[in-house]
Amino acid sequence: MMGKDLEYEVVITDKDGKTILRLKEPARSFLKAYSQIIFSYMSRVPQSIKDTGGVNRAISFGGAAPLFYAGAGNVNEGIRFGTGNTPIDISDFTLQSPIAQGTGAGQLDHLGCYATVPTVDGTESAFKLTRTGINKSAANIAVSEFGVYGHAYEGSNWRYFCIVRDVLGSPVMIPPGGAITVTYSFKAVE
Amino acid sequence: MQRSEEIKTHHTTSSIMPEKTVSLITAVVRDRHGKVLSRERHEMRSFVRAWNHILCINGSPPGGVSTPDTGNVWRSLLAAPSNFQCNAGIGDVSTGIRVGTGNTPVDIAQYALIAPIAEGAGAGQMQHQGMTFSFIGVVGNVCSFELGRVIVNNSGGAINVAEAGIYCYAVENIPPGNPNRPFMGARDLITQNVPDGGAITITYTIRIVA
Repeated sequence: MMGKDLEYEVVITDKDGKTILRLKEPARSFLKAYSQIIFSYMSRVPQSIKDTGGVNRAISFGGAAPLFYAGAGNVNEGIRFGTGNTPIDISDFTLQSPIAQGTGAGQLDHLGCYATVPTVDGTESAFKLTRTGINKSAANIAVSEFGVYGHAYEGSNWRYFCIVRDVLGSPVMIPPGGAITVTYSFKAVE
Repeated sequence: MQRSEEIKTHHTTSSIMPEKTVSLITAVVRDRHGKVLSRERHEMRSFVRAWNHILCINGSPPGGVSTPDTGNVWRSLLAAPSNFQCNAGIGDVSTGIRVGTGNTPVDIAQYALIAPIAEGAGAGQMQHQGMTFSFIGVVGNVCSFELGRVIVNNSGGAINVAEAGIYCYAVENIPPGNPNRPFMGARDLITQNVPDGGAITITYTIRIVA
């Protein structure tokens, strides 16, 4: 559950909802911030964690902390999409070039991002985290990277961290009116 | 000083994997004088269901995820800062690393050690020291941290330890109190004999690899 049991699926649909691309692969990487957040939660030892803006934050425990679900249009948390293709470094603290929320050129309209109810099947427990981004602009958008943003507390303030990042071997193209759906499967395997 | 005792090193599935890129469990047994009697290190076998469920609730609205606690009572979880907390102090066996005598194979749906050893100095009991934590950080493409616990046998006889695990809190969704409940997040089998007056130190090394 700390790196080897994560996979993703990418589905691209056109404006009519027809699937034009589907790929499923092992995810490349949880990032340092994920390890630090889990460590802090387990130990109660504060950690200095670099947020998605590159600012070091002292993580503490001030209240309820949903880690990575997001409502529609919220791009502080949940799955994000981006156009960067720089190889993954475990110390990455953000996507290289995250795509903004919106309907303008180069933007995606982000739907809500929630985990499914976990299941146990044979030797594994799994849940999925899914998000769809719709291209409401008039031009194609090429997605090369995606990841998961989550939050933790600094004092009483929410701070946002990139906990997972993956880079595609080649970009996937989202046509106008089309959409990208990325689903991460988090697993614990015997 | 030359050590005459045999150091038992046990490798399981990790023997076919790069040891520096997997999570590990290490068990070290010492006698009453601190002399190492045996040592075992292998790939950590398994986070189990509750770990994944606690992680899942942090991506879900309240009430969406339930999982059995260490008493096999199903609890509806809540995303909260106490989730994963396992920094138990001396003598506290509600959370932290636990050991037991059960050798039933690991199953993803297990919710507790098969036969957890109770806190104490009586027959079949062990005395649990406080949890220790160390964030190792990034080395190359690996980020890791460790959690450990020393558990002392003052029972008057030897104790065979056959299992170890990580117990942690998660918060049950019962407003307004939202109590902490203990869950088992991981379980592993080990084979160690701890003499009277001796101790076993369990260390989990948790790694992620880019």
